[in-house]
Amino acid sequence: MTSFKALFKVMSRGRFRLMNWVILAELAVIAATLLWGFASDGIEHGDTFWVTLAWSMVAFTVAFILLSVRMERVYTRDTYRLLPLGETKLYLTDLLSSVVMFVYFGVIQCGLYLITEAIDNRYLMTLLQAVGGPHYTTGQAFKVATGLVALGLALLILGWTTISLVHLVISATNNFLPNTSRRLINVILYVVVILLVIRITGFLFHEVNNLGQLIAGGVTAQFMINIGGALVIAAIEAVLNIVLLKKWVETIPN
Amino acid sequence: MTNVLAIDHVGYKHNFKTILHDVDLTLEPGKIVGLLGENGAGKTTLMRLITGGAKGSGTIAVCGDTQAAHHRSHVSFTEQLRGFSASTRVEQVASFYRTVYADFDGARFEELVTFLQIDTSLKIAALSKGMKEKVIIALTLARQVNLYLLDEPFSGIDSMSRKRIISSILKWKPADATMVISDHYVSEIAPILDEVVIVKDQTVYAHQAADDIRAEFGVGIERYYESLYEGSGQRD
Amino acid sequence: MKFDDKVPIYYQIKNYLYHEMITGQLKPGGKLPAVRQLAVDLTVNVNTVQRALGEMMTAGIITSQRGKGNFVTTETTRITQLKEKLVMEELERAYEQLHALNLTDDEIIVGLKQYIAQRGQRND
Repeated sequence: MTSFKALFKVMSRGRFRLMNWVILAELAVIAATLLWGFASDGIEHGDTFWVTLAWSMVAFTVAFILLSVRMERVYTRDTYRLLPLGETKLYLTDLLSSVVMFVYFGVIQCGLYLITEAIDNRYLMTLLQAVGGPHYTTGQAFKVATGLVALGLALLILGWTTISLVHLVISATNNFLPNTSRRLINVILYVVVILLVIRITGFLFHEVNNLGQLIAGGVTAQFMINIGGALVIAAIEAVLNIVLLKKWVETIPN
Repeated sequence: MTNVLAIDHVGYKHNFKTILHDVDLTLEPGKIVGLLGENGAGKTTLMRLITGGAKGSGTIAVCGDTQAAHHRSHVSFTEQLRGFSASTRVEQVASFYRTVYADFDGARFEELVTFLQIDTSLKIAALSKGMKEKVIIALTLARQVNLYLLDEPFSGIDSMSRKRIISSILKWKPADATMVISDHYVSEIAPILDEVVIVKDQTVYAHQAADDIRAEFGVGIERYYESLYEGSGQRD
Repeated sequence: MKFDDKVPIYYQIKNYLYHEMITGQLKPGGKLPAVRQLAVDLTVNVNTVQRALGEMMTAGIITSQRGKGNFVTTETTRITQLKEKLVMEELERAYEQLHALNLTDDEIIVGLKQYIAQRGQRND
């Protein structure tokens, strides 16, 4: 049996390298944007921070997509599917590896924000104080940060389990349905996915709004329940994914 | 001694099309078995059913164990390295194998690399067809298992590489392990085969000891194989 | 070595080794290569080599010493017998083929003499 540790190591090695490439590319683009800005009309106070933040959002999207591709690849490749271990271990390690690498990416991004914030002479702090936003205590700030991170992680996991579910259902049905009904199934699945994306986006905005109230101290419980709900759905999807892998999903032939 | 492989009433359909049906096949330990059949006859599918890469009906026992997840620790299959990106170097692939397979023998792999003249610093994308096949053979044989499945290891390979691969099979196959080699071109491997399994008409059509074919019918393996196709009158 | 795919391989291996013994490549009492080495050298299956060796052992042409390997018999009479047997087999084959061409025994002898004489000239 391949140990969890060994599997996690081989799965994460490539993804770690991938994340570092994204970070390098991101830094290059940020540097280029700043230089160009500097050359054309000089850099204003706060530019470094905003440029970094904007490109960071792009980089987050790219990192998410690249990790998804890596993750999905595992399900249909002999290289992974023929390893001496059960589907549950394979699936969960695959998911965990991507989550950990995404967290690593996120930590680096936070580091970047802190650095650029420092370069900009605590621009953000000054800005926040100037607009007279809520004055948080350290405890409150910690709570908000934790809430945001928890929400982000829950949605990340839910996003990935959903993508996998769609992919695995398509791949499983492709094996035993004739071509015509296959196309129909694919169309139905795409509609389902689009609906799901809309639902999740709605949920996301709702939660971000809630965050204000969370800070006010009212609906912490409600917020936690919603995060819990997302995780429960993710868990159900994960179980379905594992069953699909076990029973129906085949690898790509030689 | 238990059979390395026992296939009982195995069938497989893809998109409502029958690829294999009623396949029964048992293989003893320590044999080299030629899996012969036309392109598309179902040789690869049969191997994929054994590894669990494809899901069919019926039961397949590897070393007496019928659970697909358990097969994998007994079976080494020439997988085509699709799980790696094209920029992965051969040495990185080997390191992957070493990490995930407890039965991967690093020293044996090094011997195979030397014998097959593989440059491990090359990227997968830079490998010629023959070189890629050699890398796959080295990785497959470096594992110490009961059943080796070599899927068309000689297709599109120059004769020098073919000879090297055949020699490495003879040198490094563990004595009690069984090896199945699929091919649609027989003559090159005929002398090294103990048994011949012919896939035809979506099932295992014949299973014979190679020297029995020569002794009983007085013909070569290739001739015997061709005669099965002529006899049915469906093909030319 | 090149095998005839129509003849059982173990039989051809036996013949190959007998040939080596008769020509003196393998001396009486000499050690045979290890089974796997033989398989690799001849590009044949280990089991087939083992079958060939097994039959040679039964025939008393080789002996196995546990842990040491296989040895050619020291009884030279056996090897002489073997040579006679092989020669007879070859003669039988040639004779039968010539006979199948409707040659009489006398014609075969004449033809063979002529052939040897011609061949001797060519080699000079």
